[in-house]
Amino acid sequence: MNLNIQQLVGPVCMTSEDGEKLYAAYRPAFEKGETVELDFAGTRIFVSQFFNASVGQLLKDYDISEVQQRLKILNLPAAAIPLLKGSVENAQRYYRDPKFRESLDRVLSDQAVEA
Amino acid sequence: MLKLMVNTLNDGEPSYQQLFRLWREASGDEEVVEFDFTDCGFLKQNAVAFLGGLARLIQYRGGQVVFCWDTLKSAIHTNLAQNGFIGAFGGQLGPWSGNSIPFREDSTQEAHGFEDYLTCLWLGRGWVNVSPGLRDAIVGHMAEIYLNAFDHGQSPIGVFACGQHFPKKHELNLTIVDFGVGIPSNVRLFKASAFAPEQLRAAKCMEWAFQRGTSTKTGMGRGLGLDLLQDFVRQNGGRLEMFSHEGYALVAEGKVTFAERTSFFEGTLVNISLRCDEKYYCLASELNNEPIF
Repeated sequence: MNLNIQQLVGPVCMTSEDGEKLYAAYRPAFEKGETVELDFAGTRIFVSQFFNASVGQLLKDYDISEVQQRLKILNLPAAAIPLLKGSVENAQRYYRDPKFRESLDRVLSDQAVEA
Repeated sequence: MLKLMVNTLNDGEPSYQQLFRLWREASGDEEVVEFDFTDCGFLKQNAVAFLGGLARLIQYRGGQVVFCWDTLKSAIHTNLAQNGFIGAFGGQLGPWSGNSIPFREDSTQEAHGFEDYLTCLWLGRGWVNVSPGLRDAIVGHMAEIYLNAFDHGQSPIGVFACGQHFPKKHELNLTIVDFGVGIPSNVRLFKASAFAPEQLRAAKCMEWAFQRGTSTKTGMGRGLGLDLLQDFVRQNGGRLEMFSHEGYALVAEGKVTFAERTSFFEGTLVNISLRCDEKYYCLASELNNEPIF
């Protein structure tokens, strides 16, 4: 499967909503065992929130080696690479480290109570 | 009625102390709060963003805000008209383009609108010579600060911004401020399992938040998204500073420092000041791709 990100969400990759849209677009193919190509040609601006939703959450169900094998990132501007890498690294930590996950979840639940 | 005397406000420490004092003074439940500018000789963009947010905070708490426009000196009145501040608070003059980056208030997150604001009205106006790639990367990092304010800050009134280009000083400034819970609050909550919260001083919390990959947000890391910004500010000789609680972070003169201030502000304020010089700034990766001739 090949997805053109600019066509799907536009040239600006910022919001978690757009990230979820991308994730929903390729997840079924990935589950079937296909190789998925995400083509970022024509995209310009990136925020971690987008990568967290579009790529990071894949680490919940799949090992990093499988993601590296079957999720191909094409034409991503060089300045965005550290953001994507950081997103994937943090996702690995969150889904593999129970103490880290517990600390983060406590922040969210406390904020929800205060709200 | 509470009368707040707004003095001359620049972007040095004494001015921030004054701003945060105004925030403290307005934290009660006065029905009417009046902003008087009789003693004000100058209002820099950080003050404009902050005072706009403070006014909305007072209104959110049920108070009525009165700006004594007739106490403004003529030049300040013109500037506040130009950047849209007067128009936002009931004045009749609308903004027009010039050296101002408009006063902006987002009560709810408007990511794409803020990206347009940064690209078209701040960094994309040619005052700092940046390549399109670097411009987009910097805009992305500033947008991350904006999004973090909504996701982490819990501000009931959203996020405020204002900027200014000073051609004679060769300076381009932008301030983003929220009136939420502040960075140290979230860091202390996250670290509570390992440290007693009172051990985590605000400056240490800021230092932790600046580290790569740290985040208190469930699921994934975002940190403050400042790596590239820090590098660019260093190269440019500019200045990036952040205020939250008593914590203070400063990127300037090639280094990052963290300090504990004496005055407290519960929210978070980010101020970036860039030098408008003759240099052309681009990403290292863009240099590699440039044709030789």
